[in-house]
Amino acid sequence: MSVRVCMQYFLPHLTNDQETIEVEGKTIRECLENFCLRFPNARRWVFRADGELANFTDVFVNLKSTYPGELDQPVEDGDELFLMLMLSGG
Amino acid sequence: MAIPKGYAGHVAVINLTDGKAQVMPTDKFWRDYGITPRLWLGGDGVIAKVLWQDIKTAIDPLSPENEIVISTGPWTATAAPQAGRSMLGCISPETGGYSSGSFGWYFPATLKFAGFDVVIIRGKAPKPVYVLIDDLDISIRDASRIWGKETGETVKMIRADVGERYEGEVRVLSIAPAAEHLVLYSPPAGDATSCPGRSGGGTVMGSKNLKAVAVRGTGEVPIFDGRGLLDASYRAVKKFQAEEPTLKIWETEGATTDLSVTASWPMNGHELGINRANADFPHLKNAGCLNCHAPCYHWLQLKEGRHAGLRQLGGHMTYITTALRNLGFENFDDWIYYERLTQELGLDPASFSMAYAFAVDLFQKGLITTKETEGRVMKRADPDLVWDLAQAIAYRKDSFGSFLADGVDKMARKLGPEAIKIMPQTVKGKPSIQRDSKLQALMWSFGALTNPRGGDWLRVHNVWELAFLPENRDTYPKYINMTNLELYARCTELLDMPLDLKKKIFGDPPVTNANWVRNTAGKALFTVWTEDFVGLFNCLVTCMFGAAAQFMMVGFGPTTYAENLSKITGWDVTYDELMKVGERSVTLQRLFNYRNKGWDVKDDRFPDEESYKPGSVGIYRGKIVPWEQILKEYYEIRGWTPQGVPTRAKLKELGLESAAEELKLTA
Repeated sequence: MSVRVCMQYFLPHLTNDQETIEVEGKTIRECLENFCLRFPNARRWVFRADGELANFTDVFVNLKSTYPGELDQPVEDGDELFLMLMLSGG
Repeated sequence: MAIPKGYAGHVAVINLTDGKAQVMPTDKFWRDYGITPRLWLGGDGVIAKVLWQDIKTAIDPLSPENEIVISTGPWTATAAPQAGRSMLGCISPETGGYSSGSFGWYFPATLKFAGFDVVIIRGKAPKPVYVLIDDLDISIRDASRIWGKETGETVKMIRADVGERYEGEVRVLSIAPAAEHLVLYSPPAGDATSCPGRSGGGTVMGSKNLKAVAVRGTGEVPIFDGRGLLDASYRAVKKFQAEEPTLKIWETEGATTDLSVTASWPMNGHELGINRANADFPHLKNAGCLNCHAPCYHWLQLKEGRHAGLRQLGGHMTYITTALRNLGFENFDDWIYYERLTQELGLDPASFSMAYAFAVDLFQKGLITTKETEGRVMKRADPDLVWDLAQAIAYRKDSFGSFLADGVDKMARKLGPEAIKIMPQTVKGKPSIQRDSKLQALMWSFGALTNPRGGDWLRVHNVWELAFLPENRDTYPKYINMTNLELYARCTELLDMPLDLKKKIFGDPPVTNANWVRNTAGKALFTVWTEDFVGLFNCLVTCMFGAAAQFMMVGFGPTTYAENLSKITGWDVTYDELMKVGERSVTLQRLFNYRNKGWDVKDDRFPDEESYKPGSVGIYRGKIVPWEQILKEYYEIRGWTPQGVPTRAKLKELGLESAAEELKLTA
């Protein structure tokens, strides 16, 4: 499956300001793993050390929440996967 | 009328055009402006009254008609907790509407020690000047030699010029090159450190050729019951230490902003503690404004790397989060240098970093090219490019720097619809602090819609939703040994709010859980309550951060403020009375913008239509956030019309009949 990872509301500098990145995977976890293989600096913002989703990161597929059990949910070809960083500061 | 205790007793009115300064008793000033002190206290309340009377139509914010109003309050410079704050108000260069910002460190307290409650500055000096307030003696001095200097050097030069006898005797509120070059979002800085951020007050000072206001104060503030105040203040701080559930993270890590930050603290802020411990002065740890029990300035030192030698009293989260999110910096040293640089140049970190981030987006989408950027390849995570552009903006060195110096809203409007479509969240011409808060937290986002100064959520800063985001992780237990549900149960119990109001907001019995966070019930009412509460801070004046809103709003509440203020002034003030002070101030600011700018429901709106279409992402989980419905509910609670205008009945209730009369408002 090919999905698009959307970075507008995450940390776009991690992808050199590319707003969307095409990745392959059958589940959200696989997609994000592949995403982090291409952009290794993103790993610490996406995953915790134990491999679960980082505390301050949320994932939406086609603008719909994936909570709970985000990482093991399946994705379909053409899905859009939004990463969102928790609001903080200010 | 006699001047109550807690006030310094004088007001300065300085006209830069003719170089004259008038010192008047505070009670005369109150009479001239129709101010009953117990109804308005000080700070924003007094600023709103002054601007309401002095500026009756829309003006060019950079014209001599604009005014700078520095207004302390009865809380300032007393033994009450967090007594080091003042407000600075003006007409905003970014929005053209009401604007004010809170600042601290030691200028505000010293101003009261000099004998002044309020300073009003009008007109425009024919050449650069600074104002020296030396107790009750005011002089306007030549600043030609200082003009062009950054804030740190300005403070040193003025202190030398006036003959400071010991370090810190003279406090200096000064502008920087960005304000001199009329960058629209430049704040002044108190002792090169504490800024009334987001006010644009520095730019207005620059337009008046006013480099700085310096103050030396040797007097004291009369207190009604000094011993009683010490007892009340001590009890308040002890209560904060005993009951604030997130205090541990603050104590161990020095978190300097709201609870939400603790979620990403290991990524964002842990290095602050490490840096502090390794500095040559580890014993100094944190510093704060007068009487602060949660001081938020870190003594930092960069020993190695390209910024080696930099010592910075700061590490504030606004700089760190805007550097990370808007500029793409992940390096601690760059965060701290960015803070120092923007303070020296006079750039508001929120407006500056949003303009930068927007410029990157425009470049990526081809809406601007290297022709417009003067050869710059715009991207994030490039510190050298940021340093270069900060200088280009602050000094308006080239056309691209000048383009960004006008801020996000004007940038978008110059480029047209395609740019407006992708502009960062902006309300009433002022951008927010991060790209799009409305994706996650309803009340914070809603606060940007209704904030009289536009753009940001700092007139609400209700963290209640944020602490539950993301609700499924172990963020909080790790720090405070409570599950999120336990945290909310405790905080709902401790929140200083009448039970019937809690039931209206949280249900009966009052419960906060993930379902409450994800839905809209009670949010309009909680927003109104919080705006009035924050409005109260800004009239007293005390610090919004630290005491309450920074954490879970349980440390201090209106009851604490009533106890302390009664000891300061001798008034027997109550919870309800103080919340009305906040409401009155918020309402007059709203009315000011309605009268002078015509702002009403049409302006309480996000500019991008995407915000109003089904499918919004965020905690509202795939359904549209009903902004218009919440706004309608908010107006009803406030006693405003569906157009968002305060009704005559509401104005009568608040003692603002004359304003209703002036505007010929119907019943």
